[in-house]
Amino acid sequence: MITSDLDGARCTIILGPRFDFSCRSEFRAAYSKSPAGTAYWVDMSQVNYVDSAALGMLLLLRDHAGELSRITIRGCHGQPDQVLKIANFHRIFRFE
Amino acid sequence: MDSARIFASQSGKFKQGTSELSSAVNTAVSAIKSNLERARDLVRDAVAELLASFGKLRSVLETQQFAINSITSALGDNGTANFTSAASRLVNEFVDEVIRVSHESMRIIEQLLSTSEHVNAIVVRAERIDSLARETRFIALNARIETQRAGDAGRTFKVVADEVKRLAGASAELSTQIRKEVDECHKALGVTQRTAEKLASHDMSSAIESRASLLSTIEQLDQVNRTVDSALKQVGTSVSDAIRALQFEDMVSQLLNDSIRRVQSLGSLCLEAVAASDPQQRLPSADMIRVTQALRDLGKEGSVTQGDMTQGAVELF
Repeated sequence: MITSDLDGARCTIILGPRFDFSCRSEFRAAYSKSPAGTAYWVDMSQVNYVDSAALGMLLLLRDHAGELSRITIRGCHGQPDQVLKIANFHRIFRFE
Repeated sequence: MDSARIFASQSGKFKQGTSELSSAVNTAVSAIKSNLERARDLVRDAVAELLASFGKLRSVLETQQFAINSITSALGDNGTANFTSAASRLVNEFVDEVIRVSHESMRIIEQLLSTSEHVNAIVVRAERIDSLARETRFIALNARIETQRAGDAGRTFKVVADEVKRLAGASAELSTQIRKEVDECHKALGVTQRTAEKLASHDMSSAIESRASLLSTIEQLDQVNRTVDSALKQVGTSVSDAIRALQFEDMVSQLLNDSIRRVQSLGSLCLEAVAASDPQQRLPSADMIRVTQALRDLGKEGSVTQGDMTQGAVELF
């Protein structure tokens, strides 16, 4: 279950407990309507499991937003945090 | 008894006394000398044996050190540090590859969905063709009815109406074929999408676990290696210290040889002193004074000191 809110140049995407391939279309819908220059906030505080497709989806979000855009991942913990660290996502996304 | 006989008797006893004294001095001196010589030989033999043992120990240590070095050099020029970074790099490359495949697969799926939308648009067009064909057939039917009303005049037009009806049928047939192809296309897209989905979705737990266990194994290996290396170095240092300490044998030998020489001198001086003693004289004879001086010198003569030990930080005396 993914909810998203586009407020001006700021798009907040709140993810559910499992962020895997099954979230593909919902996740895409959450950001596909945002215009260029939007800053993204991906709330992962409820997420307790991610698979490799989740990494692919976050990279697709970055493709959509552009390399220079600001994507912030917040509230990442447990297994998702370990996976994102192993994936070196701390180099390409902002974490808080 | 006259005084001459008393003197002769006393002199005889004195000579016997000095002879017994000389013999006792000789016995004592040779006993001390033999003890000292025995001590010197015992120390020399024991030290030689210790040196041989420590030498063997050192060569065993060198063999061990060599074995350890060959393990570390097998791991890389920089030992386990290189091995560690190579292993971490391998894990990172594996993870990067998983992410790259996932990213590309997700892209492919997006493209497949967009392709699917185009294909759906074809279906909508085919349906439009269907409805056009239906309308055309209906018009052809009406035209045919009109030609019947027109009688002979309409006969040629009837052929045209039939031809239009046939073309409408052909259009409907074509539309059915298009939709059949589109169905196949959808099926193929579905299979491709499921394949891409499998490529995109991998459980990452094994990657986390393998990375953690790899890193901890490397750390343990490194720890063991460092411990063994430092232990071997410590033992090596101790053995070298021991070997250096064993040089005390040199000094002990010198001291003992010096003692042997002094005991021998002491013995001969004692004999001379006995020979020089004369109960008739009231004052010390020249010989007595000379022997006394020689004994004093014997006590004073330079002795072996620690300064003689050329090498060695180890204090022995």
